[in-house]
Amino acid sequence: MYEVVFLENDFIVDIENIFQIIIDKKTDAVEPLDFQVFITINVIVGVFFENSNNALLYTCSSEEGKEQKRFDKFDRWYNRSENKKLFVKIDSILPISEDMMFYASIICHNDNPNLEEIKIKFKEFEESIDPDK
Amino acid sequence: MINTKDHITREDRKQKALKAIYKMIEDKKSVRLYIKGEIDLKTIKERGIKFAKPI
Repeated sequence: MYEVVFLENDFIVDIENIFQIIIDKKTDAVEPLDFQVFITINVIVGVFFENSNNALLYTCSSEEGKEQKRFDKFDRWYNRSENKKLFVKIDSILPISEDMMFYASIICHNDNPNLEEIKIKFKEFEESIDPDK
Repeated sequence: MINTKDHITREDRKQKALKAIYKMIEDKKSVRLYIKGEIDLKTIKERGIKFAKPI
């Protein structure tokens, strides 16, 4: 069983309605294939974006060194979603130490009035870590 | 020639951004522990983590 939690965003502080989503299993038990999880998350994300001003931020935990796999899984879910055409997803992979990368994405509704500002802020954030971005 | 002022500002921005990232990483670890029942809501609040109800 999974639980979904939304957090207030500390990432882009000047823009409202950006929420961080955290999805995790309630136990460490091995779960079957993730298709049902995808369906559930897809419904939750659909409801979340009924307010097109909302933006969804997610980061990928580096526990067990699986951040890239988690990032790829979110990407697969996103690409599988029939609502994908309604959204813009901006990905960011940043080096935060010699041996650690930070994976994050932000998803915005195409009708989000802050979309351009979010893109700019996200880019600025990336560049502050990695000027080559 | 190195523009010290610009360099410091850039470095400050980087440190601020890194601090935000590390806070997100730590917050996420705490929330995952909360989901698994290993810490309670009081601890979450003490760590300055704010749950949200998007509408």
